Amino acid sequence: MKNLLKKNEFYVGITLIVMCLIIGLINPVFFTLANFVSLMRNGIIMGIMSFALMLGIIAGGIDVSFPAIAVCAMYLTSKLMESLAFEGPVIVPILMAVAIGTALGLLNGIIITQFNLPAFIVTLGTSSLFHGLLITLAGSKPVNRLCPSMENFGKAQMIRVTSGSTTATCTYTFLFLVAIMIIVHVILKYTMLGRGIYAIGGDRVSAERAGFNVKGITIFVYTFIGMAAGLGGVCHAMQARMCIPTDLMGSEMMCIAVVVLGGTSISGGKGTVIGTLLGLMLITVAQNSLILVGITSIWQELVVGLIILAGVSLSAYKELKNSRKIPKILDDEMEV
Amino acid sequence: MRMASNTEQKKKVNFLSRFTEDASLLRLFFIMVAAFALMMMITKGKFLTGANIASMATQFPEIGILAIAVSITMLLGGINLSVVGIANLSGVFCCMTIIQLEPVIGTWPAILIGLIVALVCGLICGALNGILIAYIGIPAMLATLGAQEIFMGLGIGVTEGAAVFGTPDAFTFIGAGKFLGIPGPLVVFIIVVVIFTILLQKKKYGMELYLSGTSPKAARFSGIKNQKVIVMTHVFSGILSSVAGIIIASRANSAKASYGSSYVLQCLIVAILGGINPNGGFGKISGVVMAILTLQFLSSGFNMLRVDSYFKTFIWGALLVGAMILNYLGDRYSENKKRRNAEKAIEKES
Repeated sequence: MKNLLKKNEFYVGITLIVMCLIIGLINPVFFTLANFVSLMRNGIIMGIMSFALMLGIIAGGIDVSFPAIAVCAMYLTSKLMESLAFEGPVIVPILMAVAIGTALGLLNGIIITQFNLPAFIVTLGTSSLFHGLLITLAGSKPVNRLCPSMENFGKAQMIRVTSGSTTATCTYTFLFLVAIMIIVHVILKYTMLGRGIYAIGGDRVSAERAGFNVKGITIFVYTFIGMAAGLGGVCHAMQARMCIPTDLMGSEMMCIAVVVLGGTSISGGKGTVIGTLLGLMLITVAQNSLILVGITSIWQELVVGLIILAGVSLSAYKELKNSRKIPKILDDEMEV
Repeated sequence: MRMASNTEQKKKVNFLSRFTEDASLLRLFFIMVAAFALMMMITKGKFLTGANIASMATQFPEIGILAIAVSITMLLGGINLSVVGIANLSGVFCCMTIIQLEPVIGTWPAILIGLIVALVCGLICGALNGILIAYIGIPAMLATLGAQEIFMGLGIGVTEGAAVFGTPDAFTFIGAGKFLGIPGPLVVFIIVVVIFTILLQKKKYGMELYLSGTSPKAARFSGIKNQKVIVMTHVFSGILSSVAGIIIASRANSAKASYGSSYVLQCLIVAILGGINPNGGFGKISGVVMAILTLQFLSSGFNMLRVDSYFKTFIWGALLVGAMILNYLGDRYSENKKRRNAEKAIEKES
């Protein structure tokens, strides 16, 4: 019980439950199965990217270029498939998008490690570099008709629920979210690579002395983020059943908020998949359900900002109090 | 004895750091001249017409001031991503105040109160950032990111997402007016640069800022109240942002809560290109000024060539990454040179 109270996940969970209860009490529509399924569907893309981003933040870095990578991957893929009049299986465009994402992520990783530069500013630069280059070279015209296999994959319904007058569906892209979640969990929990990611985030120098391949692990992390961004991008295109090259840009802030709300320390070294999942649920509910409580769209941004800042404040303040305790203990020991 | 050698060493370190800093400033100066020359060549002299110079002089001050607002927080080892949010919110409040008060107390008093409201708005927003960072312990990047969301959300909520119109024409005296033949925004920019150069190089606050940015722990042990410095810096940053907001509102004679979202990136590019170290402690306002001029030369030149705006985004991104890689290589080169010199000196002695 005492352990539970110490965990950040506990507080995020409580916040989530309280928020759901309040929204549900004001508008009972919130507690229908259809609403639940539509929330699930709305969280997929953000989830895929957030879980990968979490790896980067645990390793003490950050990536704000993944929306640009996602756009590059989905737009180039959709455009190529359109011009080839591609008829083959859906796995080809998905793999292509993942490959593009992986390549761009690798580039990020190489720049950050080889020149020893701050990840935030590098990815900020590459973000506009990738997006600017994409639109300059490939144009900005939306792809309105995806190739048939992508179209069908986006149309196929994995879950279909009707409650009352509303029907909600969820696409098979949800499986990708589950897959990413499991992969990230396995990496962090059961592999040496995961230990390395935590170690680098906790203390870079110590990790290096302990024999971890810091450069290699860092490159892997950014490559993984790029890969997930590519996957997320192509999923977005399939879900929307069209591809607009200015979509997704600007979503990096929300993903960072998801990860940090879930208890991942922004300075690195701490974070779990369960926490990020809770953060994802919290943000998804806040973004999609405020309208049910009567908060109109013009005030939505403010309320979401307040929720994010409140959640971040809570965990930051707790950490600050903990860090102030340590010197005291040291002093006591010295006196003894 | 030990004290004496310590101070001697300090002097040496101080001198060395100043020397390398000057080297990077020199590098920056050459980049600026090169950008100017390049644009002169490409546009075949059209670049140097009076009209273009005048339009450049009204364009760069707003980003320049925002870049200084970001730079001083970066000197602290932090960052401020909410400058554009603060600028827009201040502009919105400024315009709304003027529109509300003009029929009651006349044009000029209303404008004066509007300007004061904008500056106070910047001060409060900056103080909020500072308190979140210093007293609650949120990392600067996250705190100002969340704050950006709040400032923009508040602006959108208050204006219902629309632009605020209807300020009197007299309000444009800052953004479109001229003082002694110099465009208003440029005058404001020069004043800001002079004030902050003095503040950072000559005053106690500047010393504390650089020390706190180099090593918060060392600063604390030498009696500097880090938390106070953080709040002060963010208050300055907020006020500077609101000054930029006033210029933007005054130039367009209207304000919009979601204006200029690409400015954040540009500000960061200017600050980094200007030699401000994102880890804190190093960098000068003069570098930022040269960087903003470089960027403006490129931007104006590209505008004359009718280049697509996305191509400009690409160039800025490439410039940011490229400048950092160049800085890294330059630093490593000078470090190697220093080491070789030291080795030579040791050899000579032995």
